[in-house]
Amino acid sequence: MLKNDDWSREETDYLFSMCREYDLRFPIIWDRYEWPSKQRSLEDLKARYYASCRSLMELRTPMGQMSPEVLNQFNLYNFDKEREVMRRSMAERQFNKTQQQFAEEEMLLTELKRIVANQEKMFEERRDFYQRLNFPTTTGSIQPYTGSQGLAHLRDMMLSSSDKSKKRKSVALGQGSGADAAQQTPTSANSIDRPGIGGSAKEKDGKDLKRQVRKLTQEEEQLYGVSYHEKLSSGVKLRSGMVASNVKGATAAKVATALTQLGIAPRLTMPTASAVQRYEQLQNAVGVLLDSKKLLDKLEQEARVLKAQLELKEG
Amino acid sequence: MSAGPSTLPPSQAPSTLEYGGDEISALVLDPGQCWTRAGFAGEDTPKSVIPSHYGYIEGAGPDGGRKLYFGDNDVHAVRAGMEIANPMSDGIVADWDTAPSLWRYALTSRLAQDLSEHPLLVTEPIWNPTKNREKTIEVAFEDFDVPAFYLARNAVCAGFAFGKSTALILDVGAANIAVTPVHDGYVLKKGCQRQPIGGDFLSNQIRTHLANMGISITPHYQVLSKIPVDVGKPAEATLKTWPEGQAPTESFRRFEEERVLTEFKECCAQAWPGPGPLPAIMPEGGVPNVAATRSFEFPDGYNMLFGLERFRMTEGIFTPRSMLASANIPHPYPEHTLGLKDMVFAAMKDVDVDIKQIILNSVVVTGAGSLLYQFNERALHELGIAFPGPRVKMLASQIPVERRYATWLGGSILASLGSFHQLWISKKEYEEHGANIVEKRCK
Ligand SMILES: Nc1ncnc2c1ncn2[C@@H]1O[C@H](COP(=O)(O)OP(=O)(O)OP(=O)(O)O)[C@@H](O)[C@H]1O
Ligand SMILES: [Mg+2]
Repeated sequence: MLKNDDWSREETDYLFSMCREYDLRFPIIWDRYEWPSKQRSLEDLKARYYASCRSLMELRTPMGQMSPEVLNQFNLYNFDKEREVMRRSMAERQFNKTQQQFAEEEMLLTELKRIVANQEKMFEERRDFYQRLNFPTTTGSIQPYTGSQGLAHLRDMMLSSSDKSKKRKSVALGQGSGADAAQQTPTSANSIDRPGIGGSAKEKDGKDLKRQVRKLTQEEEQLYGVSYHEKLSSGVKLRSGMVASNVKGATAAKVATALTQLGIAPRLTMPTASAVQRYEQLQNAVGVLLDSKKLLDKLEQEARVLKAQLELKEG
Repeated sequence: MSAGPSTLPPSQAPSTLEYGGDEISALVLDPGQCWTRAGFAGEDTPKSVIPSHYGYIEGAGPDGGRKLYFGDNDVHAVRAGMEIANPMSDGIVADWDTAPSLWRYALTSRLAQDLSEHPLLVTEPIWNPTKNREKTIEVAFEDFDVPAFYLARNAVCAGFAFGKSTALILDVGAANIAVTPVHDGYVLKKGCQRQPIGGDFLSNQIRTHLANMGISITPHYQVLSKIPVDVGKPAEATLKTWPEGQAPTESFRRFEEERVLTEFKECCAQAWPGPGPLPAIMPEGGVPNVAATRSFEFPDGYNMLFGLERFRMTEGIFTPRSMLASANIPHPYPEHTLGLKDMVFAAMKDVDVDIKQIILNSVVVTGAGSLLYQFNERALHELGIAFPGPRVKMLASQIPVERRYATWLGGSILASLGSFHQLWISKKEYEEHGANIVEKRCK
């Protein structure tokens, strides 16, 4: 079991004496190792030493009868020479890298990072795109819904099913069936909750508004808070909640933080019509600004990378 | 204790008989080509530093033998017929007739009364052959009658002076520059490099340059009086004359010339700081702040300005092909000589890759030759070229005394460590096993 064609008994003993002498410090053992007409690498020495140790352990106690600690030790002595040789040659290569190789490597890494980041973005966009292209496939036949009776039935079904999910309903009512909504909600109720002078003034003569059509001057309009709308959406809302967010998605959050940084509250304390309008303008402007900054950053980074590439090519 | 093999289990207290008691400290001797340093272990500088050169007058000694002169005062004294010699050659003892006397002088003139009371630690270079090592232990036990002895590798000691047991030691001595990787207190022998481009080489490079310029060196002892002269003008000094047969010898003149050259090294010569080798042709307008000329006044009053030559004289250390040559001043073959960078590279080549980085993290610079102005800057640049990736960290004391005596200091630290007691070779062990015990115990 301890026999090895390449290793004589005497040389193995010598190896063990060296290991004892230098306390298993293999770099030193290898440095001092001298055996006639043998050139041993550090891995050769380690492999022979650990293999012999394992064999000896096995001879003393068969593997099945080893206690867990001994078995653990036994497994620790499993020296994979091939792997170790490979690891060391890799470490050697790493050690011998030149300055230029280091610079190149660094450059490639940043480039890789950029590509990965771009890729993620692209994937996201693609996913989004596919989602839009997707439509629910119909499983049943459309036969029952042909003809006017069938269509009416379908409409009833859709309405009742959308009742179940409120979200669906609001979507359906708000967008799809404007006519229905207009019927259900009295137009005059539109301004009930409006605070301030405007609100109360309107409330007073809200009912007679249609009859006594009197052309108000601009000052009066402003004074009484009268405004004309091209299109009114249904329902009663607080104007503070009506601040339309023209900026969308990730930019919206950024705009919000930018505004907080500027000390502007996300909710207006006095959301008069003009204040709301100005607030929306502000949001828009900040949004545009942020977008351009992002674009600028991206372009600058790309310019840096290209410049570095250029330098590397020239240098 | 990470250094050296252990022979006694650490728990076993060393016998007090074997090395005296605590109150008696060991002696540490660091013999070099240029200086022999001795002192008590545990102290931070050697109290006794004498030139390794000695004087002798044939036939003036007892029984018509040689009379020997040791120590700064005596070797530099002007005596008719006194020759100067050096028992060391290539950094190791070559003349075993004189070396023991020189060592005894270094150890007893200012330190110990009785050598048989103090354990002795001696340092040696890596290339010290077995024969010499055995001779050293013989001298210690039979001539000096010390109670205990140890022979320590000087590179290991230099590392210890910086608290490092794993390091790359760059020792710029007189005879050689030696580069030695050390791991866990053991020298990695396969990596040891040395080249004859130390202080003596630099002296000869300066000699060559001065000879090429037609400048002769008149040592101090020859000058009786001098008067100031303008730069480059011939010296106007009155020189001493000696009656027929009373004049100092040629070897003495040369020894004294060396002193002038050391002065020149200290205040004029300079390493080209790098990066890169010294350019053959200086860029237009010279090189800012490094190329300023310096003047040097020779003992006879002759003084001269030195500009770029100051770098040319030293460049051979880094680029052997650039060494200066002249017909009758010796120099090594440029083609067969490794410069500092190649030495370091060769030294690290066979070091286990797993410890390379640790070793390069402590590059210890020692030896008085490394005091050459801007030597360290250049050395660091050269190391950076040899190992661009790994981080190279250089350890060098800014205090000249520590740079000169780092090897001795490491020996002093080693010998005073409590755990070192078990490493001493006792007289009894020597008597039992003979001189070859040094090979087994001092690895
Ligand atoms: N400031 C200096 N600049 C350059 N060289 C110097 C300086 N001071 C001393 N030297 C040189 O250093 C050399 C002596 O160095 P050191 O004392 O380390 O050598 P050593 O240990 O005696 O010799 P070795 O190590 O070769 O046996 C001499 O050649 C001396 O001229
Ligand atoms: Mg030395």
